[in-house]
Amino acid sequence: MNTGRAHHLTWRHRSIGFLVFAMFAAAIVRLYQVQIVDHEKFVKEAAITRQGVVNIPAPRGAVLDATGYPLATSIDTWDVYIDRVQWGHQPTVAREAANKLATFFGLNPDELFRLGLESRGGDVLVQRQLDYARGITLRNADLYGIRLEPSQVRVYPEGDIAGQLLGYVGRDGKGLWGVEADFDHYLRGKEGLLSTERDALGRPIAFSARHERPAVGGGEVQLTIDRFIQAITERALEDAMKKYNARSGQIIVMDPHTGAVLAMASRPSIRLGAVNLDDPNLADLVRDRPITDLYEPGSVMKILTTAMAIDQGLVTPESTYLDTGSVEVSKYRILNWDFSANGTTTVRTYLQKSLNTGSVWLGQKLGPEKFYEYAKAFGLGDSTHVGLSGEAEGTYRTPSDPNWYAVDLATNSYGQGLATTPLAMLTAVSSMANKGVLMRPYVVSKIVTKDDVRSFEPVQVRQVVSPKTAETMMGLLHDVVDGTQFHGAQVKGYEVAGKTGTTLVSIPTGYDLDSTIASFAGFIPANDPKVSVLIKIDQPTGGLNLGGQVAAPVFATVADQIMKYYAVPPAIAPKNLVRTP
Amino acid sequence: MSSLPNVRRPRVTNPISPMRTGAATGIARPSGVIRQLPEGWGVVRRRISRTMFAAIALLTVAGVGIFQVLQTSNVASTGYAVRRLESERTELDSEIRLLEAQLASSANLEHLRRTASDRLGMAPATERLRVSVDTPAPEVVPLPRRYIPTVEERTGPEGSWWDSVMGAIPGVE
Repeated sequence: MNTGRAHHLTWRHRSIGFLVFAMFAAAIVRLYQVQIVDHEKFVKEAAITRQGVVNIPAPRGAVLDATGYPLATSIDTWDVYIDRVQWGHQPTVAREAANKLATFFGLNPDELFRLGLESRGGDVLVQRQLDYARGITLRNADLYGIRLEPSQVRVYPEGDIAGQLLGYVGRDGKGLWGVEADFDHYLRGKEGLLSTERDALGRPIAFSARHERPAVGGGEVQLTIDRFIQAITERALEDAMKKYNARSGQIIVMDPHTGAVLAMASRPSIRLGAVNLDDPNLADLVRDRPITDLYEPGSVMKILTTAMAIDQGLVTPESTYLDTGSVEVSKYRILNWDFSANGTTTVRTYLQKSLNTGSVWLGQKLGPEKFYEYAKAFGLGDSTHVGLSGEAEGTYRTPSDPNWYAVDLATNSYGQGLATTPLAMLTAVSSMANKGVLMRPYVVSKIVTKDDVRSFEPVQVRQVVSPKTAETMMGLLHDVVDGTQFHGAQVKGYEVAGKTGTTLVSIPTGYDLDSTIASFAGFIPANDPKVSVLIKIDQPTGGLNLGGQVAAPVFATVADQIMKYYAVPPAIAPKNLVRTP
Repeated sequence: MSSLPNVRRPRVTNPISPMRTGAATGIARPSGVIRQLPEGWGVVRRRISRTMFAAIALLTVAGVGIFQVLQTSNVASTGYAVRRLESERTELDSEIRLLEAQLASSANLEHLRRTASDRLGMAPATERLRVSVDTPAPEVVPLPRRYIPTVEERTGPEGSWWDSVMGAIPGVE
């Protein structure tokens, strides 16, 4: 059948074929030019215009307590910015974004829009540390010219406990105080970097040139602090501060066998979640007083003076001296705190009654050389090397100092005229419960980083007194508490050893006769101490101001609760209290 | 063989070539026995038209192009999927940290005390009764795994028994 169509290629076919071929050829030539001839040039241009670098924030590590509970940790948030340049290019679209953003944050849309356009200092920060989930919602809304940058906020699940010890971080996430600052190197991690090519919308182009340095999360610092004991001490300290209207106070709880600090409470304190860096009183609030502030330990020092004399074999618990109520040293007359005269008195009784004449007697028997030698061995003139910044060194005069007088030895023997930190004092006293071995206190037990675990083990500093002396002292200190009727430090069901201390507050011109520091250092249970505790209440007012009146009852409260927490069976218990099935 | 207009007849080479007769190899064939091959047998050389060549070339280029486009788009979509998954992982990590912090806050001592007193109506014990049992107390692991150090502590490799034997010999290190 003849259709009229030609059965061969006509000029039209050839023309179309030629055009197709020409177009292909042109495309190939162009591709050749772009991909091969000018390849380097276009690669460089693309790199300049499309290469984007993103910082990948590293999550800051947590500070954990002894049980592994996070006392400080970080959660992710967002910082929300307006991209001023984008808003400037398309004000109409920006207006719509401003309305939506204002609705989201409950702000005035006109003000927000004006702020976004008028600002000259780069991007405009709308909200810092926006809640993570809300940030995701905002990001998904894809508002024009709104940028969300990942950020972090430090949170404190247990509230403000151990505030001065933990310290705080700045807005940039760097530690500024306390453990946060001292161990910032381990906690902060390493920020990562991601360099990618981006498309027109700013999104990374898949499988394009991509250089990534992954972020390394911060390590975790585990403390020896036990949050349960810390909470017990903070609550007791808070109550004591109110009850005695005290100016400040500290409580330290230590394991006397290892030197591990189980709790370190201090008042006044900071609110960790709301640190005001502009507060002029900030230094007072954040100061970790148990390690930074020196004080005169008062009669708690008699523990050490007595141990020195017993260790030297100069006295036994039953050795006696004649207490006339006062003792003359150089031109000075030293009296007992209660102005009493007790006649012939044993070492045991002197310690129970906390007689100044007794410690002066022991100090003179020891002589300055031995006394200061022991004082140094107990670590009183040094820092404890607890591993925290800002720790003060104790201070006292020795015979080699031109300003030293014989009366210094007398006053030093009962804890006046020498100054030490509460932590150093408790460390020295704790050696009595550790067979005479002085331990180095420590608050950080472990640092866990991505590829390493660093553990801190107990460190024995030195044997200060013999185990026998230490044992004798524990017996004497037990008599001080449980051998004295109605002693404030007694704990029902448990044997307690300890010693009160009351000292006048030193001022530049001498001593403030109206202000005292009431303290108590003790151990529980006395026969095998689980903890040693130092209570120090500064300048209590309202009538009661002695260590036995103010600090000893706080010890009783704290010690009782710690025994419950440790589930230590009572040593002195009515028969119906313990049942064995 | 019928012929069509405009279709060229293929060239047919001589069916009885010297190669086939063995003249070139020097091997004599029996004379007078020349076998006639059927028509159409032998080496056929068809001439491919230019149009066909162009069509094949275009198809090849188009095929390669389509293949490359498919491959590139596949790679691109996989890349975006990977990117999306990475983003999801980052978000999940953040949520984990958030939940861990919330969990820790729920175990806050003050929160527990309030819950015990307000919700459960509990009060501090006034009397204590201790019951001795010979079952060990359960291990207390109250925390999210992240907060429990998981990195094993490094310990030095144990020396072999002969090391200790050699070490016991004085003067041998």
